[in-house]
Parts: sequence; C-alpha cells; structure tokens
Amino acid sequence: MNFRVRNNQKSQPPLIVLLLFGAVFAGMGCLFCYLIVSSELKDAEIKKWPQAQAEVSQSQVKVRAKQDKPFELVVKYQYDWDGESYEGDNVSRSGQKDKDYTKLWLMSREFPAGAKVLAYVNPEDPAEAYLQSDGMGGTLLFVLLPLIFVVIGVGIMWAGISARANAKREAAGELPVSTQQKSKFMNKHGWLFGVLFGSVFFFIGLGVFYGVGLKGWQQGVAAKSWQETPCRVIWSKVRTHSGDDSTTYSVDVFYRYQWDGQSYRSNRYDFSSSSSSGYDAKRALADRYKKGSEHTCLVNPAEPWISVIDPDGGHWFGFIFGGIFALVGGGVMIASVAAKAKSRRQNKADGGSKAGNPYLAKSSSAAVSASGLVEQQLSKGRWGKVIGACFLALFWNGIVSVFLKILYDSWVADNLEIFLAVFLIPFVCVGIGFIFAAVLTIIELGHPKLLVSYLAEDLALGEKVTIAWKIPAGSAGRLKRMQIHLRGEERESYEGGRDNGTAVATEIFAWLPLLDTQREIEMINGKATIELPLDLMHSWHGEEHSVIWSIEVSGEIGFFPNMHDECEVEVLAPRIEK
Amino acid sequence: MKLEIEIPYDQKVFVPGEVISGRCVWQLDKIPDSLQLSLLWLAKGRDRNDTELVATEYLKASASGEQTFSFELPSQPLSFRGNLLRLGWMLELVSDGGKFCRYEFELSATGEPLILKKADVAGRKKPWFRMKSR
Repeated sequence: MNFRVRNNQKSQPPLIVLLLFGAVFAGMGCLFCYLIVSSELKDAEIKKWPQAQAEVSQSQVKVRAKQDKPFELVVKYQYDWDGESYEGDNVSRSGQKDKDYTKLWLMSREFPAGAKVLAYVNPEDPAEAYLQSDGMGGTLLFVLLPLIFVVIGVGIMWAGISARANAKREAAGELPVSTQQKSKFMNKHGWLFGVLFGSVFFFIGLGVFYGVGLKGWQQGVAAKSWQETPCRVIWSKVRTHSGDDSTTYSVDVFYRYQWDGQSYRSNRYDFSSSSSSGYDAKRALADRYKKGSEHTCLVNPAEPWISVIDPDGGHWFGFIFGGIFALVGGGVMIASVAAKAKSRRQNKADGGSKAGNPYLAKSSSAAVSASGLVEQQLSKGRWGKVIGACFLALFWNGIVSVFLKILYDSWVADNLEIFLAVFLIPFVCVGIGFIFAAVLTIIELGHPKLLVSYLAEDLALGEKVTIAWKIPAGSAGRLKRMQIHLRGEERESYEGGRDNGTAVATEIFAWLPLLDTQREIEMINGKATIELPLDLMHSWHGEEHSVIWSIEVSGEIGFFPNMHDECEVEVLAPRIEK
Repeated sequence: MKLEIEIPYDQKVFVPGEVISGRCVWQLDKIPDSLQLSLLWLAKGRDRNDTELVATEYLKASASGEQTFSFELPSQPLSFRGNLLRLGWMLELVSDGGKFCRYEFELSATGEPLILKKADVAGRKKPWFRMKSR
C-alpha cells in the first residue's frame, strides 16, 4: 500500500472562507483603529493651536423635529487674528447635533451670549476655530477593542495559509507523519483564538450590561426620590431606526416643565437610549403622550434641568442583551480554556500505556453483565430524535418568528414590507416542515421497543455469535413485517459540507440478515446465529473517520411512519492465537 | 545522505501480535539533534487523515550508523482498503529538518490485504429522519 499524507488538519474550513473571514475581521479592526487614532491625532493637533479671545454673540439649542438628531447647538462667536476679525460657529470636532436635548442645553450654558471665551485658532487657516478639543487622553485605550479584531483576523488568515502550505507539503509526501501532530500551530494555540473571540463578545456584553442595564437601574432607583412635577408634551413620536437586517423603534417624547419659576425642556422618557423591535408597544406609548397633553415627570432638585418620565423603563434591555452577550462570550472563553485543559490531560493520559482497546466507541448504551452478556435497547435513540427535531423546530421557528413579528408590526403600521414578506415564504415553509417532523418523531415513541442481547466476546471477526431479541408482548401486533440486520459501514469526514465545511459520508460494506419475517410470534421473541467473516473490518473509531457496526431493525406499520431503530455494537478484531 | 529501514525479505504483510524487526541505516551530513523511529498507523479519507503513533524508539544520534529494532504489533486496527477509507501501517525514521524515510506494510488477520466492497443493500428501508452522529 503506497500512502501519501494529504492533510491531517482537523475540521479546517476552505482557505478562501478563512481568508475572507479573517480579512473582514482584520479590515474592520484596522478601520476602527484608524478612525480612533486619526481622530485622537487631530484633537491633539487642535490642542496645540494658539488660542484667541472670543466673544459669544449667540448661543441656543435649535429644534428640528423631523431630523434624526432633532437638536443642534448653535454658538456664534467673534475673534481677532493678525488684525483681522473672524466669526466662528464650531464648538468641537464631534459636531453639535444630538438626540439628547439636555446634553446640548448644558453645553450652551458653558458659552452664554456675551461671554468671553478662548478659541483654538488654526494658524494656517484662521477662519477655522474651535471652542473645545474633544481629546480625552484615554481615547487611545479604545483602540484595544478593534486591535483584538485585527489580531483574530490576521491569526485566522495566517493559520489558513500555513495550514494550506502544510497540506501541500503533506500531499507531496514532503513531511513525516509521525511529527505532524507536534507541529500543528492551531492544535497548540487554537484555544487562544477562542479566548480572544469570546472576549470581544464578553466585554461588549459587559459594557452594555453595566452602561445600559446597571447604570440605568441605579439612575431609576435614584430618580424615584426626585420631585414629581407637571409637564406638557411638545411632541411625541415613534422613531424608526433602519439597520442592515432589521428595523427597530424608540419612543421620543419631548416635553416642557417649570421649576422655581424657570422653564426647562427635556426629551428623556427613560434612562435608556436604545431602540428595539416591536412597533405596537412604542406606538401605544407615544399615543399616551399626545402633543399638548399634561403629564408628570420626575425632576432632580439638585440639577433641575435633569428629568425623566418613566424611571423604571429601558434598562431591562441592557440586562437581557448585555447579559446574553457576556454569557455567550464568557462561555466561549471558558470552553476554549476547558478544551485546552482537557487536551493536556488527554495528552498526559496518552503518554502512559494504553489499556484495553482505544479504538472502540467512547460511550456505549449497552448494559454488560458479569458473564459478558450485552443487552441493548434499540429504541433509545428515539428520545434523541424527538429532542433534536423539537429543538430544530423551535430554533428555526423562533428565529423566523422574530422576522414575522417585524412583518406584522410593519403591517399594523400600514407600511407592509413586501420584500420581507416574499423573502420569508420559504423559511416559513421549512419551519412548518420541521414542526411536522417533530410531530412524527413523537408518534414514533409509541412504536414497539426491541431489546437485543449477545455475548460481547462472541461478537468478533471469525467467530460465531448468537443474537437474541424480544419485543414486549402486545406491541408487535401493529407490525406487518420486521427485518433485523447487522450493518457495518465506513464513515468518513471530509471538507465541502454545508455545516462548517464538514460533511460525513457513509458506505455500507456489510449487511448481514438476522431476521425477515411477517409472523408476529417470530417478532416477539427469537434468536439468530451468524458467523462474522474474517474478510471484514472490525469496529474502529478515529478522530475523523470510523468503522461502525450496528444492529438495525425496521418494521412496516400501516398508516403511521415505519419503525426504524438501530444501536451501535462493537465488533472485535480477530483473536490473536499466540 | 542516506536514511533507510530494512526489513528481512521485504515482508509487507504482518499478522496481529507478530514482531516486526529490522535495521535502520543512516548516513547524514552532520550529527542530528534527534533520530527517531516510529511505528504508526494512518487512516486516509479524501481530504482528512487520522493517525496515531503506537511506539517510538530514539536511536543514537550520530552522523552515520545502523541500529536494529523490533516492535510487537498490536491486535488492531487492521489495515483495510474500503470504498471511502484506507488504513495502513508504517515505520518512519525521522531526522532533523524534515528528513525521513518510510516502510509501509499491512496488518492483516488473514495474511492477505483486506479489501472492503460495497454491500448489496437492495430492499433496505432507510430511516426518514436520522440524527447525525460521528
């Protein structure tokens, strides 16, 4: 037999997928790094500009109800430079439009009309000036997050290219097989990528959990001791936020109130600044706060420009989404570290002498008596099928239902998303199919349950083995025909499948009949003796491939789905005659 | 440069439990950091392989020399050529810098190469729904 080693990598997706995936990760990371660093550099540059005395002539927050950012801080100021007079209206580089009225109102108080302030003037173009520099100093720390993306992306690309190069050398027979396992970078360090990947989700989730959830909840608790004050609604609307794959909504209530004889305005409905799906609930809320209607808001007595209508709303979004993100990320990190620890323990264990047969299945549902008699229930896989089918149906239909809800909301809002409706049709049909499959697996639970028994040491190549079976009396009546076979099959993993690029192919090499009957008495109880030929392969389980032996039973049942059960058995290698 | 594994009579088929013995001969440009002889099996699909080192013997690291060896072969896995997979055994002598040589052989209970053919499964009723298992 002439062997050429082609590829010993485990479950590697195609190179193009790795390169694209890595390039997107690294590219996005680089882009964000560039934006953060360039912004920081620009701010640092502004801070170095000379300052000139400026006099504020106008300072106000303009309201443009129809814009996405409805509030704009308008500050105008005059300053002199090299004997010439200039008028500036820039406050800072980050812009002066915002969704938060109070934030801009506070900024306008820093630059009241008539105040004398210092402006940073561009010495090369004195018409450009800013009142503030956004440089926070610590902004550069935010580079760490996109840097993780860069490291992961480059790592994925490098691992893919290096795996392909190794595979080519292996295909050419240029690498020894016995040292390959030791040189696999991903086998050694792949867990680090898992930790890095998980940490991105974990820290984003933690940030949302703290920033939106915990902070919002704390603010809500504090706000409950604030002063209840009447307020009048200026506007109330549902704002639509169109994303790449879905549309979300938020309630926008802008209101006016009096405190100590002074008038204030605010658009803080709750302590959340997020939006979510579900148009109906937001529409109902917005309708409660009609333009001109009177309500009550809570005003902070120490800082009366800060107020809120609903102190309890909003922060649950942060708890739920932040928590899920953090849990998923943390789970990936823990799983990666655990997999590494397990692999270490495995390597240590493998370093010792191997006891028994290491190539047999790692787990078996068989009950083995002291005499070596094995008893196996063939119907044990039915619950697995039920759980699998139900999970698939719930998972698929759960995801589809989110989009159906969006579709329903758009229909209720008289803005039916036709494209989404057409797009969803095949997904809904598949979902109905999954539900149908789940129902059939549940019906299968009521089929007859076959129990087989045999002596473990007899189930070996070159030996005669007697396999006995029985079905609980009464349940065989619905079977019209029953067949039992001993099946041997090769099972191969290869690249090119739909799920993560991995597919499994099987080929049956042994199909040995034990029973084929239409008589109920033979179905209920019987046995068959068979000699396993030496020119077959015994049970063997590798990391990627395996040779599996099973006892397979099929029964024809009138109207209902036919019975089909199987259980894996271990066919031993021929006994060594010393 | 020379790396060789010599087996008496160039025997290519062994039965489980048999002892495989022979001689390694090498002549290298310089003294290697390590020189190892491994007994392993390799199972090969269309694009993925399984392999396992069963035993390794470290030879005396010198620029040239020869050394005898012997390994008792285990009972399994047997060599086979199937429709999807092939499994074979080999001895591999590896020096520094990826220099190596192989001696491939079969582990067979019958003394003949084991070739698996497709079974005739006419009339087999396939399950309508099957959970994937590996």
